[in-house]
Amino acid sequence: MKYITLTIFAFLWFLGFSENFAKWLSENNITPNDYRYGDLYRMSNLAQFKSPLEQCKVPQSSPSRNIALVILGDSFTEKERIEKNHFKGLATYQRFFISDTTQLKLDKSRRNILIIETVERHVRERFALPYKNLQLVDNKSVKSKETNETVFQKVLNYEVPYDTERHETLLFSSDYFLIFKEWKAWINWKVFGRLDKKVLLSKDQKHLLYQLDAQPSGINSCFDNVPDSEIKTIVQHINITNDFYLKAGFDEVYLSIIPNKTSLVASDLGEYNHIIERIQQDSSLKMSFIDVYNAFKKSDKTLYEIGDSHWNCAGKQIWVNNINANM
Amino acid sequence: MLFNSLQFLFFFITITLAYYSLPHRGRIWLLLFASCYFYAVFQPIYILILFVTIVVDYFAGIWIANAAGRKRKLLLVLSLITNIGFLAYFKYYNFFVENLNNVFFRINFDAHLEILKIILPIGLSFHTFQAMSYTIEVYRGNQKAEKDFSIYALYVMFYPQLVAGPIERPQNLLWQFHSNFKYDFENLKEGLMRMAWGMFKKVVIADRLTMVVDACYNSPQNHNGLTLLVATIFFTFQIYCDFSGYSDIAIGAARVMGFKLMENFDAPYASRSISEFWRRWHISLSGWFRDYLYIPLGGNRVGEFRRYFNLFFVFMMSGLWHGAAWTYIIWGALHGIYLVLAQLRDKYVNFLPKKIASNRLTDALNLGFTFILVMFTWVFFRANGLTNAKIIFQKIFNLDTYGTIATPFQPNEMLFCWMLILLLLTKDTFIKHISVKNTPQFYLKFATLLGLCYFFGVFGSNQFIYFQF
Repeated sequence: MKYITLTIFAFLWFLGFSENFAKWLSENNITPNDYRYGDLYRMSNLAQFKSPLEQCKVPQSSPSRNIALVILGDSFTEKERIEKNHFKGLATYQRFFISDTTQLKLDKSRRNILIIETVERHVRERFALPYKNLQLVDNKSVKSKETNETVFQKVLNYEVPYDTERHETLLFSSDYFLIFKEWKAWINWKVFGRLDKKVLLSKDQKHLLYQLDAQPSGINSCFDNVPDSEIKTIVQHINITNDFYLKAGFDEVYLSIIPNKTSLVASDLGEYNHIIERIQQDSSLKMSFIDVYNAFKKSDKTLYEIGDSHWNCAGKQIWVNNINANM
Repeated sequence: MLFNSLQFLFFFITITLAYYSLPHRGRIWLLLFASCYFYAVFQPIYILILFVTIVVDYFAGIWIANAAGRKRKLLLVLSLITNIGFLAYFKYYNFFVENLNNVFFRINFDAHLEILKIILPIGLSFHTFQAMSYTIEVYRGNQKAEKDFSIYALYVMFYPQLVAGPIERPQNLLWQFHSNFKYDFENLKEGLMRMAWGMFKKVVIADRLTMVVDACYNSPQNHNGLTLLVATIFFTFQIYCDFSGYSDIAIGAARVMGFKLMENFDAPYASRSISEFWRRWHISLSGWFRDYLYIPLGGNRVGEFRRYFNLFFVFMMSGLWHGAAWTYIIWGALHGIYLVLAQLRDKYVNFLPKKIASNRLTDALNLGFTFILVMFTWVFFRANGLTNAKIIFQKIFNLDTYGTIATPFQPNEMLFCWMLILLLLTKDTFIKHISVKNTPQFYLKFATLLGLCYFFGVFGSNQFIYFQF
């Protein structure tokens, strides 16, 4: 009995060390996906915002129109949400995470399109400088990052490869444990009026929001005052980015800023800074702009998941339709 | 590794089960490995510092035991220099240089010394003091030199008390590592209950109060006097729950494996004088300073003035031990001054004749006065610099700055905080009276504590305050 318990706990402890093993368990559905009810629910554990994320239908592939699409995007366009078949006429599709430094070789025989997709809350950070993380090379031989670290520095900087969140995810995200988490969240909210630090509620308490963009101030906030001079600088950097990628070989470069959930459902929490519209309407903006903010505003559908900061199938479809219309 | 982390839960269960599955020699190496890992989770590289001090003190202990006369003393001094050298370099060098640069600047002397870009190894003051107590006790002949390297290394590194004490004495700990404790269900229950109580103090009380304390103390200029007074009261209990909570978990974790660590706290806020407070607060450190600094300086055997100076000096050093900042030094010095004044009062002033006040009233007044002194002295301990401490005092003692209490908490949670403090004051010693007999009450109390920890605990990987020392 002692040895069996020892083995079980040693194994459970080991789970916190191996990222690959944790990934393998999740991919094989041995452990549940803790994002299955959305990222905001995952942080808050408020039961009234618990709803399984909608599984969207992926369209059939369409005939190729010789388009090579590259998306530099954030979590809105990650592979679980967006894939090649969503776009019409693609010959090739590549998507990179926007903040990664990546090397890419373009096939000049195709129509190369680049879409830079970013969520509204990160626009000010991402265009604080011209954006040149994607490097175009002649030969697609991605060089590994050269590090100048000496062995001594490596030893100095070594960290034990453990991640508490991995443990938390693997062990305590089953529906059984979520009940306890929900009770705790309920006590904190109803008795102490306190939510998880990373979330906020809309005034009518119907919408769960991401604190980063719903807070009254801060670079990521919808309600932070953004002076015109900063908008000018952002537009300038977008233009430099546009020129850089056109010169590098892309035939078309688009910018798409996805509105924050807060901007659409809880703009009454403060004075909304309208950053998307101000960038889009700036007369000096050279990069083609794929507008979803106005399309979202006009829509009478629910466009964001109840427990998630990302769009649902309807919201995503509006964006995809807009992209396809532009291509 | 933090005691209040998920990782510790698995670490502790795995190591304890493995401990009871191994023979004695295997247990020692297992605990040594576990302690290395426990420390490495914070800063792997700094384990080398521990290793160097362990090697130096291990050989110093053996050589001191075999040497005589001046050579014996020289070896002790060399060992102490090594230990204090690490402490001085990592903890005090930058403080010294900053102050020297300030002096240079004020006298218009064109010189600037470089600040070192180093991180203070976690718990350095604790394990250094524990290591020093070994060589001093061997030198004094109170402890035999430990020949077994692994056991000596474990004495310095034993994971439950490695980073925040209690600072053990070799006489209490080394023999325990030579013993082969058998599994004992009573020890298990006692240890687990102690750990649960420590965890309750840390995650339910300390980490909740810290939200108010941090908000107020990080920007005292934005808060009114009443709010700062409440934050100061909260900090008084936060630091107690944080540190004594750590000690409880350490003592409990060791107890589960059969080891008995020394007590570090004994309801300090029930003290009726500052000297009593120091017999009840951080007992292992007070004892260390008494035995290895105050007594060698002459203790009570010197003249009156010298005795007062010694007392003041020792407490100032105790302040400096906590951190390389003037706020800590002032905190320690103030406690020294209180003690000197108390001795002067006892000698020259018949302060409150018993005819006027009953014993109970005198006790109550002393208790209240001691608490208030201790509480306001904590301001220096917590404030981010002397300027902030000054602002806090100015606001607290100026009733005109009082307004409504404005903290990040809603009234319900404020009320809950006061209830927790009341619970602490009334039930602080309950753990010592709890029966570990196999009764339903025991299991109910244990399960209730765990449930309270989970449902009312604040989990955000808040480090223990004393780790920084």
